[in-house]
Amino acid sequence: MITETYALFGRAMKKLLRSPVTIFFSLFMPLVWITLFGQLFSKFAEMPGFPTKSYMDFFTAGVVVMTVLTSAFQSGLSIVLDMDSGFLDKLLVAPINRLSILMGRLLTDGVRIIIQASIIIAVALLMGAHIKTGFLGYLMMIIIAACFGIAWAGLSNIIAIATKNSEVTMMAGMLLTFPILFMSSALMPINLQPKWMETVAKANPASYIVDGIRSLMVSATFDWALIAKAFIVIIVVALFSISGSIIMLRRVNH
Amino acid sequence: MNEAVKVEHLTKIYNHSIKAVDDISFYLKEGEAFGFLGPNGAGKTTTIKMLTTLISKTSGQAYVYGNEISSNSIAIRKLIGYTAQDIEVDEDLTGRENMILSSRLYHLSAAKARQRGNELFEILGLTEAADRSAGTYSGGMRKRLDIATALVHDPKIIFLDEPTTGLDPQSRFALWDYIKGLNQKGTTIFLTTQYMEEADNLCERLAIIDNGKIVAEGTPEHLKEEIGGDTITLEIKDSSNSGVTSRDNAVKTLTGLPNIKDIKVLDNNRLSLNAANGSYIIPEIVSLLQEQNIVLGRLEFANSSLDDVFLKYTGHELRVEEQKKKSNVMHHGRKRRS
Ligand SMILES: Nc1ncnc2c1ncn2[C@@H]1O[C@H](COP(=O)(O)OP(=O)(O)O)[C@@H](O)[C@H]1O
Ligand SMILES: [Mg+2]
Repeated sequence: MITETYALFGRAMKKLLRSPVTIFFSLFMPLVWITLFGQLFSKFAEMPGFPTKSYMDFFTAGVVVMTVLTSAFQSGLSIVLDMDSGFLDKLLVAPINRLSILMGRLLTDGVRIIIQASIIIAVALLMGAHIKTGFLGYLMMIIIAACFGIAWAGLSNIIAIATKNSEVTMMAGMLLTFPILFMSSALMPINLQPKWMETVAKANPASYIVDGIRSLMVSATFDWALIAKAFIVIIVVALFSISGSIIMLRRVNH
Repeated sequence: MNEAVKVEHLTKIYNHSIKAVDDISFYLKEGEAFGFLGPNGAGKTTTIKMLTTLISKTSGQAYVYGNEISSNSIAIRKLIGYTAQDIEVDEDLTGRENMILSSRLYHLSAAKARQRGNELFEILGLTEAADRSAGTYSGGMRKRLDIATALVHDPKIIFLDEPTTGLDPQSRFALWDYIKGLNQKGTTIFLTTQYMEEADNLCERLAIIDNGKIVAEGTPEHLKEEIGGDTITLEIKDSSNSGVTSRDNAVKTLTGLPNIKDIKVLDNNRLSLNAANGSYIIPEIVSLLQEQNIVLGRLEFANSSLDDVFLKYTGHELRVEEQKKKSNVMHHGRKRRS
C-alpha cells in the first residue's frame, strides 16, 4: 500500500512538474484578492471590535484558505482525466488498494498547495502583513493549509467520480468556493457579522481553518486551542471525504 | 483439463435495461489462445471487464483460475494482465516511466522492474523510444507499450480487448507475431476482435458473439468446416495419349484422402474437390499427383472464410465499424437489429 501510494504519488508529481503552469492557475484569483481587496478593505481595521490593527494581518489567512479551497477543488479533474483515458481501469485492474489510488493523488495536491500557500504568504508579507509567531508559525500555517487542502480535495474527488464530468467538477468547485469563503471568518470577524451569518460561519469548517492560521499571524505565541480546533476539523472533513471517495471508487463502472 | 477461465450463464444488464451480455457460457483451457469475434456492441468489452473484475456481473458465474469474479477479485487481479480497447498509457510519462509505474504497482523490486522493462522493450521493439515521452509515440508503439505494462508481472493470462483495432497493417502483423510468441511461451490469451483474419490467425478456438449471445464456438477450422469446407479446383493437363485416363487416375489417387470430403468431375480435365482445411492439403495433393505422373495445368483455391461462418450464424455480415461517429448521417444509416 505504501509502495503503491508512493508510485502513484511519483506519477502525479511528475505530471505536475512537467506542466508547472497548473500551479499558477489557482493562484490567480487569490493574488487579485490580496492585492486589490487587501487595499480596498483596509479601512475595516478601524472598525470598533476589529481584532487586528492592519487588515492585511487579518485578511491573509482568509486568502490562504481561499487558495486552498480553489486548488483542492481542482483535485477531481485528474481522476476524470484518468477515467476518460481509461488509465483508471489500468490502476483498478492491478492488485492495489483503492486507497493508494486516492492518496497518491491527494498527497500531490498537498505538495501543490504547499507551493501555492507559500507564494501567497510571501506576497502578503510583501504587502505588509506580519507573522508574529515567526518562522515556526509560518511552517505551521503551511501544514494546516496543506492538511486541510488534502482533506478538502477528497470532496472534489467524490464529485468527480460521481459525475465523471470535468466541467461539473470545475463548476461545483467554483460555485462552492465563494459562498464558503463569504460565510466564514475569512473576510470579516465573526463577531462583526449579522447574527444569522454568524451562526452559519460557526458551522462552516473553513472558519476554523482560517482562525487557526490567523492565530499564528496575529498572536505572539501559538494558540494551541485554535490550532487543535483546526486539526479536529481537518480530521472530520478528511474522514468524510476520503471514505466517501473510496466508496465511490469501489463502485465506479458498476 | 485445466481451465483458465470458466464462464457459466454470465449476464450483464446495464442500468436495469441494456442487456449487453446475455447468458453466455464458455471456457478457456490453460495455455490456449481463445478469441471473441463479434461486431461493435456485441458485448465483447463487457465480458472482458467482468472477467477482469472491472465491472460487476448481473448474474451467472465466472471463474478465473478457479477464483470467482465477484467474490475473489483480489486473487484474480494478481494473476491477470489486461489491455483495454482504448490505449491506456500515461502520455506525460516516458515509456520507461510507464513501465516502472506498472512494475511498482505489481510490487516488483526496482532492480527486477528495470530488468523486466528492458526485456519487454527489447521484445516489443521499444528500446530506442524507451526514454521518450509516450505522447510522441505512434499508435502502434503506444499499444505495444500498453501491452508491455500489462506484462510486467508475467501474468498467467492476458486479456486483450481488440488489440489491433485502429492500427496500420504493419503494426497489426507485428503485434500478431508478438501475441503468438507470448502464447507459445505459455501465456493463456483471451482476445476480442472484429477482424476475421485476426481470429483465424491468432486463435486456437473462438466464439462468435453477436447481440450479447454466443452464436457459435469452436476452432476456426471446425467452424469453417461446418459451412462446407474449401473448394479446390484442379485442371489436369491433357497428356499425349488420353487426358481422361489421367483424370480418372487423379480421382483414384485422391479418393479417400483424409480431409477430402467430396470429389466432383467437372469436365474432361477438371475436378472440384471439397476439402476441410484445404490450404493445408494442397501440397500433399500436388505431390501425390506428381508421383503418379499426372501433370497439373492449374489449381484454384476458394477458401471458406469465417465471414461465411459469421453470416451463417448471425444472418448478417460482419462489418467492421471503426469509431462510431455521432452525426445526423447515422440516422439514415442502416441500423443493425438491436
Ligand atoms: N457503461 C455502459 N452503460 C450502458 N450500456 C453500455 C455500457 N457499456 C456498454 N454498453 C452497451 O452494451 C452493449 C455491449 O457493449 P460492449 O461490451 O462495449 O460491446 P463490444 O465491446 O463488443 O463493442 C452495447 O449495446 C453498449 O452500448
Ligand atoms: Mg469493445
